[in-house]
Amino acid sequence: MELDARNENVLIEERDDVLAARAPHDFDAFGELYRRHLDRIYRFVRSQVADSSTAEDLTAQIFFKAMASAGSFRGEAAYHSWLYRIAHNVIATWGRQRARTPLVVASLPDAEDMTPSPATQVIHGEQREMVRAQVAQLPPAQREVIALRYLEDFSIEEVADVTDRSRGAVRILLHRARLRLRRSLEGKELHR
Amino acid sequence: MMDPFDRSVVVGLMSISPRPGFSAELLSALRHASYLPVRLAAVDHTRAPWPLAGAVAGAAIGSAGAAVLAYRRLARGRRF
Repeated sequence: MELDARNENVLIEERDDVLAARAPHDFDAFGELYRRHLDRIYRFVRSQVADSSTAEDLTAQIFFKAMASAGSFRGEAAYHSWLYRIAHNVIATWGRQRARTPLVVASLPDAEDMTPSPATQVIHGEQREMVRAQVAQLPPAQREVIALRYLEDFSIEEVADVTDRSRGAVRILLHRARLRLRRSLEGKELHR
Repeated sequence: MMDPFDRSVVVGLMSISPRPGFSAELLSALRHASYLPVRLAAVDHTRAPWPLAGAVAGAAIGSAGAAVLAYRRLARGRRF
Protein backbone atom coordinates (compact mmCIF):
# COMPACT_ATOMS: atom_id res chain seq x y z
CA MET A 1 0.00 0.00 0.00
CA GLU A 2 2.76 2.40 1.04
CA LEU A 3 4.84 1.26 -1.92
CA ASP A 4 1.94 1.94 -4.29
CA ALA A 5 1.53 5.45 -2.93
CA ARG A 6 5.28 6.08 -3.23
CA ASN A 7 5.28 4.76 -6.80
CA GLU A 8 2.33 7.02 -7.60
CA ASN A 9 4.17 10.06 -6.23
CA VAL A 10 7.24 9.20 -8.30
CA LEU A 11 5.09 8.88 -11.44
CA ILE A 12 3.34 12.21 -10.83
CA GLU A 13 6.70 13.95 -10.87
CA GLU A 14 7.90 12.31 -14.10
CA ARG A 15 7.83 14.06 -17.45
CA ASP A 16 5.54 12.77 -20.19
CA ASP A 17 8.39 11.45 -22.34
CA VAL A 18 9.86 9.47 -19.43
CA LEU A 19 6.46 7.92 -18.70
CA ALA A 20 5.89 7.25 -22.40
CA ALA A 21 9.18 5.29 -22.56
CA ARG A 22 7.96 3.12 -19.67
CA ALA A 23 4.36 2.82 -20.88
CA PRO A 24 4.81 -0.24 -23.19
CA HIS A 25 5.72 -2.45 -20.20
CA ASP A 26 4.38 -0.50 -17.22
CA PHE A 27 0.64 0.06 -17.01
CA ASP A 28 1.01 2.47 -14.08
CA ALA A 29 3.14 4.76 -16.26
CA PHE A 30 0.53 4.59 -19.00
CA GLY A 31 -2.19 5.18 -16.38
CA GLU A 32 -0.48 8.37 -15.25
CA LEU A 33 -0.32 9.61 -18.86
CA TYR A 34 -3.99 8.70 -19.22
CA ARG A 35 -4.88 10.73 -16.10
CA ARG A 36 -2.96 13.73 -17.41
CA HIS A 37 -4.48 13.75 -20.87
CA LEU A 38 -7.97 12.25 -20.66
CA ASP A 39 -9.84 15.52 -20.11
CA ARG A 40 -8.13 17.41 -22.90
CA ILE A 41 -8.56 14.55 -25.40
CA TYR A 42 -12.21 14.08 -24.41
CA ARG A 43 -12.81 17.84 -24.73
CA PHE A 44 -11.28 17.84 -28.20
CA VAL A 45 -13.28 14.79 -29.34
CA ARG A 46 -16.49 16.16 -27.84
CA SER A 47 -16.02 19.40 -29.73
CA GLN A 48 -15.88 17.38 -32.98
CA VAL A 49 -18.87 15.06 -32.58
CA ALA A 50 -22.58 15.55 -31.98
CA ASP A 51 -23.17 13.60 -28.77
CA SER A 52 -21.37 12.55 -25.62
CA SER A 53 -21.90 8.79 -26.21
CA THR A 54 -19.96 8.98 -29.47
CA ALA A 55 -17.33 11.13 -27.76
CA GLU A 56 -16.89 8.47 -25.07
CA ASP A 57 -16.61 5.65 -27.63
CA LEU A 58 -14.04 7.53 -29.68
CA THR A 59 -12.07 8.60 -26.61
CA ALA A 60 -11.96 4.94 -25.53
CA GLN A 61 -10.68 3.94 -28.98
CA ILE A 62 -7.99 6.62 -28.86
CA PHE A 63 -6.62 5.43 -25.51
CA PHE A 64 -6.81 1.75 -26.48
CA LYS A 65 -4.79 2.57 -29.59
CA ALA A 66 -2.35 4.68 -27.57
CA MET A 67 -1.84 1.76 -25.20
CA ALA A 68 -1.54 -0.89 -27.93
CA SER A 69 0.99 1.20 -29.87
CA ALA A 70 2.81 2.72 -26.88
CA GLY A 71 6.06 1.18 -28.17
CA SER A 72 5.87 3.18 -31.38
CA PHE A 73 6.14 6.55 -29.61
CA ARG A 74 9.63 7.82 -30.48
CA GLY A 75 9.61 11.09 -28.58
CA GLU A 76 10.14 13.17 -31.73
CA ALA A 77 7.09 15.25 -30.83
CA ALA A 78 5.45 15.90 -27.47
CA TYR A 79 3.38 13.01 -26.12
CA HIS A 80 0.18 15.03 -26.25
CA SER A 81 0.81 15.88 -29.93
CA TRP A 82 1.20 12.16 -30.59
CA LEU A 83 -2.12 11.52 -28.80
CA TYR A 84 -3.84 14.22 -30.82
CA ARG A 85 -2.57 12.61 -33.99
CA ILE A 86 -4.20 9.33 -32.94
CA ALA A 87 -7.36 11.30 -32.09
CA HIS A 88 -7.31 12.96 -35.52
CA ASN A 89 -7.03 9.55 -37.24
CA VAL A 90 -9.74 7.93 -35.12
CA ILE A 91 -12.16 10.82 -35.74
CA ALA A 92 -11.33 10.86 -39.48
CA THR A 93 -12.01 7.11 -39.76
CA TRP A 94 -15.25 7.51 -37.83
CA GLY A 95 -16.23 10.45 -40.06
CA ARG A 96 -15.65 8.40 -43.20
CA GLN A 97 -17.71 5.52 -41.86
CA ARG A 98 -20.81 7.50 -41.05
CA ALA A 99 -23.11 9.41 -43.36
CA ARG A 100 -22.44 13.11 -43.49
CA THR A 101 -24.93 14.79 -41.25
CA PRO A 102 -24.48 18.28 -39.82
CA LEU A 103 -24.35 18.66 -36.07
CA VAL A 104 -27.53 19.98 -34.57
CA VAL A 105 -27.71 22.37 -31.67
CA ALA A 106 -30.19 20.16 -29.83
CA SER A 107 -27.59 17.42 -29.40
CA LEU A 108 -24.85 19.53 -27.89
CA PRO A 109 -23.49 18.70 -24.42
CA ASP A 110 -26.14 18.86 -21.75
CA ALA A 111 -25.87 20.46 -18.35
CA GLU A 112 -24.42 17.39 -16.63
CA ASP A 113 -21.59 17.45 -19.14
CA MET A 114 -20.21 20.64 -17.68
CA THR A 115 -18.23 21.35 -14.57
CA PRO A 116 -17.71 25.09 -14.65
CA SER A 117 -14.52 26.33 -13.04
CA PRO A 118 -14.23 29.89 -11.72
CA ALA A 119 -12.62 30.86 -15.03
CA THR A 120 -15.46 29.50 -17.10
CA GLN A 121 -18.03 31.32 -14.97
CA VAL A 122 -16.79 34.58 -16.47
CA ILE A 123 -19.10 33.87 -19.37
CA HIS A 124 -22.68 32.96 -18.65
CA GLY A 125 -23.69 29.32 -19.22
CA GLU A 126 -26.01 30.16 -22.10
CA GLN A 127 -23.26 32.05 -23.83
CA ARG A 128 -20.89 29.10 -23.48
CA GLU A 129 -23.50 26.90 -25.11
CA MET A 130 -23.93 29.43 -27.86
CA VAL A 131 -20.20 29.40 -28.58
CA ARG A 132 -20.10 25.59 -28.62
CA ALA A 133 -23.17 25.49 -30.88
CA GLN A 134 -21.50 27.85 -33.35
CA VAL A 135 -18.27 25.82 -33.28
CA ALA A 136 -20.33 22.69 -33.93
CA GLN A 137 -21.81 24.31 -37.04
CA LEU A 138 -18.40 24.78 -38.64
CA PRO A 139 -17.28 22.36 -41.37
CA PRO A 140 -15.25 19.44 -39.83
CA ALA A 141 -11.82 20.67 -40.96
CA GLN A 142 -12.42 24.18 -39.58
CA ARG A 143 -13.85 22.76 -36.38
CA GLU A 144 -10.76 20.67 -35.87
CA VAL A 145 -8.22 23.46 -36.31
CA ILE A 146 -10.25 25.81 -34.11
CA ALA A 147 -10.34 23.21 -31.32
CA LEU A 148 -6.62 22.47 -31.54
CA ARG A 149 -5.71 26.14 -31.63
CA TYR A 150 -8.03 27.28 -28.86
CA LEU A 151 -8.04 24.28 -26.55
CA GLU A 152 -4.36 23.45 -26.75
CA ASP A 153 -2.90 26.72 -27.89
CA PHE A 154 -1.07 24.74 -30.56
CA SER A 155 1.10 26.67 -33.01
CA ILE A 156 0.27 26.59 -36.74
CA GLU A 157 3.12 24.08 -37.18
CA GLU A 158 1.74 21.78 -34.48
CA VAL A 159 -1.80 21.92 -35.91
CA ALA A 160 -0.36 21.16 -39.36
CA ASP A 161 1.58 18.22 -37.97
CA VAL A 162 -1.38 16.73 -36.09
CA THR A 163 -3.84 17.15 -38.96
CA ASP A 164 -1.40 16.24 -41.74
CA ARG A 165 -1.99 19.50 -43.59
CA SER A 166 0.33 22.20 -44.85
CA ARG A 167 0.87 25.28 -42.73
CA GLY A 168 -0.75 27.38 -45.43
CA ALA A 169 -3.85 25.20 -45.44
CA VAL A 170 -4.09 25.44 -41.64
CA ARG A 171 -3.77 29.23 -41.75
CA ILE A 172 -6.57 29.45 -44.32
CA LEU A 173 -8.84 27.08 -42.38
CA LEU A 174 -8.22 28.99 -39.18
CA HIS A 175 -8.87 32.34 -40.81
CA ARG A 176 -12.13 31.13 -42.36
CA ALA A 177 -13.27 29.52 -39.14
CA ARG A 178 -12.57 32.63 -37.05
CA LEU A 179 -14.31 34.84 -39.60
CA ARG A 180 -17.35 32.59 -39.64
CA LEU A 181 -17.46 32.39 -35.84
CA ARG A 182 -17.08 36.14 -35.46
CA ARG A 183 -19.95 36.72 -37.87
CA SER A 184 -22.22 34.19 -36.23
CA LEU A 185 -21.46 35.42 -32.71
CA GLU A 186 -21.67 39.09 -33.61
CA GLY A 187 -24.33 40.99 -31.74
CA LYS A 188 -24.92 38.16 -29.29
CA GLU A 189 -23.49 40.13 -26.34
CA LEU A 190 -20.71 37.65 -25.70
CA HIS A 191 -18.20 40.21 -24.63
CA ARG A 192 -19.86 41.65 -21.56
CA MET B 1 -4.01 40.21 -23.41
CA MET B 2 -6.53 37.94 -25.12
CA ASP B 3 -9.12 39.37 -27.49
CA PRO B 4 -12.69 39.08 -25.98
CA PHE B 5 -13.82 37.03 -28.97
CA ASP B 6 -10.92 34.57 -28.57
CA ARG B 7 -11.56 34.40 -24.84
CA SER B 8 -15.22 33.53 -25.35
CA VAL B 9 -14.29 30.71 -27.76
CA VAL B 10 -11.68 29.32 -25.34
CA VAL B 11 -14.09 29.47 -22.40
CA GLY B 12 -16.91 27.94 -24.44
CA LEU B 13 -14.76 24.98 -25.48
CA MET B 14 -13.05 24.58 -22.10
CA SER B 15 -16.43 24.17 -20.41
CA ILE B 16 -16.72 20.66 -21.91
CA SER B 17 -15.71 17.85 -19.58
CA PRO B 18 -16.36 14.10 -19.33
CA ARG B 19 -19.23 12.89 -17.18
CA PRO B 20 -18.28 11.82 -13.66
CA GLY B 21 -17.19 8.18 -13.59
CA PHE B 22 -16.14 7.97 -17.22
CA SER B 23 -12.45 8.31 -16.43
CA ALA B 24 -12.49 5.46 -13.89
CA GLU B 25 -14.55 3.16 -16.17
CA LEU B 26 -12.23 3.61 -19.11
CA LEU B 27 -9.10 3.25 -16.99
CA SER B 28 -10.43 -0.05 -15.65
CA ALA B 29 -11.20 -1.31 -19.18
CA LEU B 30 -7.71 -0.29 -20.29
CA ARG B 31 -6.11 -2.07 -17.33
CA HIS B 32 -7.89 -5.32 -18.21
CA ALA B 33 -6.97 -5.04 -21.88
CA SER B 34 -3.31 -4.45 -21.00
CA TYR B 35 -2.74 -7.93 -19.51
CA LEU B 36 -2.47 -10.03 -22.68
CA PRO B 37 0.03 -7.98 -24.72
CA VAL B 38 2.27 -7.49 -21.67
CA ARG B 39 2.40 -11.23 -21.00
CA LEU B 40 3.12 -12.07 -24.62
CA ALA B 41 5.81 -9.42 -24.82
CA ALA B 42 7.55 -11.01 -21.86
CA VAL B 43 8.11 -14.27 -23.80
CA ASP B 44 11.66 -14.87 -25.07
CA HIS B 45 11.65 -14.08 -28.79
CA THR B 46 15.37 -14.33 -29.62
CA ARG B 47 14.95 -17.33 -31.94
CA ALA B 48 12.02 -16.30 -34.06
CA PRO B 49 11.47 -12.59 -33.62
CA TRP B 50 9.19 -11.76 -36.54
CA PRO B 51 6.46 -14.39 -36.13
CA LEU B 52 6.34 -13.60 -32.42
CA ALA B 53 6.39 -9.86 -33.02
CA GLY B 54 3.46 -10.38 -35.39
CA ALA B 55 1.65 -12.45 -32.79
CA VAL B 56 2.25 -9.81 -30.11
CA ALA B 57 1.08 -7.01 -32.40
CA GLY B 58 -1.94 -9.09 -33.48
CA ALA B 59 -2.81 -9.93 -29.90
CA ALA B 60 -2.44 -6.28 -28.86
CA ILE B 61 -4.68 -5.05 -31.66
CA GLY B 62 -7.13 -7.92 -31.13
CA SER B 63 -7.39 -7.39 -27.40
CA ALA B 64 -7.74 -3.63 -27.84
CA GLY B 65 -10.53 -4.25 -30.38
CA ALA B 66 -12.23 -6.72 -28.07
CA ALA B 67 -11.94 -4.30 -25.19
CA VAL B 68 -13.47 -1.50 -27.25
CA LEU B 69 -16.39 -3.79 -28.16
CA ALA B 70 -16.83 -4.85 -24.54
CA TYR B 71 -16.64 -1.25 -23.44
CA ARG B 72 -19.28 -0.23 -25.99
CA ARG B 73 -21.54 -3.05 -24.89
CA LEU B 74 -21.18 -1.93 -21.27
CA ALA B 75 -21.77 1.68 -22.19
CA ARG B 76 -24.88 0.73 -24.18
CA GLY B 77 -26.20 -1.17 -21.18
CA ARG B 78 -25.56 1.82 -18.99
CA ARG B 79 -27.33 4.26 -21.29
CA PHE B 80 -30.64 2.42 -21.46
